Amino acid sequence: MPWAISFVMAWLIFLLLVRLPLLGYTVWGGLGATFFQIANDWLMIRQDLYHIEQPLLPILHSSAFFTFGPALTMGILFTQYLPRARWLQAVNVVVWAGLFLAMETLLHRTGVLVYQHWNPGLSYFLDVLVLGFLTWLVEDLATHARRQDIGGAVL
Amino acid sequence: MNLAVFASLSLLVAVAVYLWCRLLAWFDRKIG
Repeated sequence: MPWAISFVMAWLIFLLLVRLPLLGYTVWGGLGATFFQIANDWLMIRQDLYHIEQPLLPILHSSAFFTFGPALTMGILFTQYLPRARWLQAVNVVVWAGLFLAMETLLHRTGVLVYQHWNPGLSYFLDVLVLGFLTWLVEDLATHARRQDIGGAVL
Repeated sequence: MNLAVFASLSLLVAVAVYLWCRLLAWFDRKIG
């Protein structure tokens, strides 16, 4: 059930924040985040670093409710709200990694995410690396989306 | 942790995401 709740919360916040006209470009950021989440969990779970319980709808050892909930929607929002200044992008990565860690901690405390040879510090470190890489990947998409948002003017 | 507590705290994280995105958009416009 916690995976389904995380799905509902993610879509709720997504519907409040999404800029629909920018979806054409920024959906790729969400799909990128989805890919990283599935690949990461698949690799880590195979190594017995952690595992998940009650996935409801399993997808490569993970839960489809998480993949198509928080991973997809937050990936799109991450791209849509990517700031332009480099230093602010770095702050953004640090904050988003903290938000993901907060969600992960809640899932861990409910018992649906079980750490075997894992800890929150490793999660945070990995999130910073993945989100930093995602920032680099989606920067062009965010620029295109911004141009579209202000009617074609170049920022 | 029971489900009600989990749902409440998840909502809190969701609100934090909302506030961060709004703050980011405002700040990006301000310094842009």
